[in-house]
Amino acid sequence: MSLGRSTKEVPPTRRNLELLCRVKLAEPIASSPHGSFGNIIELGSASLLLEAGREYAVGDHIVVEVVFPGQKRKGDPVSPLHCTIRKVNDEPALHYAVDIVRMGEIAQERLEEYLNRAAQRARDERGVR
Amino acid sequence: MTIYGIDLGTSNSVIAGDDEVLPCPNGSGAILPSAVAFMPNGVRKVGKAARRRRAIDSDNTVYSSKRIIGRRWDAQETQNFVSRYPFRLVELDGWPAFETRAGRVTPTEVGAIILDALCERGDLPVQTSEVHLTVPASFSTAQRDATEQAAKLAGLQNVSLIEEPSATAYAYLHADEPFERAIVYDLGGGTFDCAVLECVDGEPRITAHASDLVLGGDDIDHQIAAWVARYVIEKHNWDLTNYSEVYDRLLARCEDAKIQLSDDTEAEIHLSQVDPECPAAEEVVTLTRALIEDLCQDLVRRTFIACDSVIRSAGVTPLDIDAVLLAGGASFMPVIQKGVAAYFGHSGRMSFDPTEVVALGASVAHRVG
Repeated sequence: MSLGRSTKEVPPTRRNLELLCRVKLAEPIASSPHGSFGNIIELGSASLLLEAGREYAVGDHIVVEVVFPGQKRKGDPVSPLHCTIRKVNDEPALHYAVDIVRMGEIAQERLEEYLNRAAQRARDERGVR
Repeated sequence: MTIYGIDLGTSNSVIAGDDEVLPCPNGSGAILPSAVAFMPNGVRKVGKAARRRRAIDSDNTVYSSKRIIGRRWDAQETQNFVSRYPFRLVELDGWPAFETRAGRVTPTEVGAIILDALCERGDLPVQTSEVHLTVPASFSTAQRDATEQAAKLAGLQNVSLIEEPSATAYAYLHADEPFERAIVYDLGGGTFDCAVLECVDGEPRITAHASDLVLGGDDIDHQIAAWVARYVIEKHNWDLTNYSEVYDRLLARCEDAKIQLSDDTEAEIHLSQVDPECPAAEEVVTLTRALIEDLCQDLVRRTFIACDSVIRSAGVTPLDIDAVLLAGGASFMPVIQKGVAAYFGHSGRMSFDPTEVVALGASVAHRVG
């Protein structure tokens, strides 16, 4: 499924995260076939901010594999997000701005559920007050 | 002229001067996690930023190195450290060193990097000022020498070592909270120290001290992690202890849960944040305060065995102690505070934040009396 076709409301971006993920180069290199770990520190429906375990170059194609916490479903819990490194956000900290260019339908559902859940919780809290 | 007090702790480090703790330069509060990350691009990160790297680059993120500062490679404590932590530790001329992508780094050098970060504050002349650097009362000469060496490497020019229990006592005396005979109960990240002190002419004098060098907040984290790992293996036949980096992430999450449980009665551990490859990665394990209290009963009991020993050595009884001064982050745990009250017959004093009291006391050590 390509991005941008949905007519649904765009879910809000979640910030101040520390969401563990595995990052693999789209074309794995022999020295690191399993990739390395990273933290997603900001996540939107079409982009994310990645704190990486290793260095990347702008334009690198990567696959960010993430398990969204607390989503009980049958089958493989891992959601692969196919991404491109858009820019180096903070070089010493290895923070990269990343565009999500492609993902499967299930991954997209899970991502949206994860993003919407926080927004729903915030709305509920406001409602309670 | 300001005198700076520095608590170079196993888990966290703090600097104080002019009666207050100084915030970390990066604006993340007063407490600097004692962690150093060696980044792939050659940059070094210290403190909170380094602590975050534990999850994604455990081989190159060093923490708890105070446990082996000044220890020989063949010391039992070093070998225990090798078996419990995810680092690649190698022998370097008879001493341990961390094998990192930045090369071999000794525990003394790690200490120097942390001190350097703690003292790097632009307009404050910490390096050229008088600094009181704290060490556990049980530190050997070699450990004290290694700590002093770390201070020298960090460029501190005028350093005196002060024992941690004395520093805690100075904080209370300076705040007009006098005592005749006190015990300092200091459950830090890596060690438990207790000391009986008498106040003579306004100065605290240690009359007896005891330590349990393998008992601290870290050990509580291991205890919680072992419970979670057992739960996951029984329920899902998946072992979270097989890979050191996975286990290390579990430890970090258990530490967060432990801290949260000082205020809340429940905390959650998301397995997706520990091991994304686990077949039950979406599962959330809920920990309760009651469970944690049960899990660390033995560890808490061990602190009182050390208290028994130190009180006996001082030739007094618990009833002769008129103040129990709490230090160390684990003192925030309700189970510790309840245990202290039951053992001594009165609550421990916590007028100061127990994570800050050692540095504060070290900074005022010259002004008491």
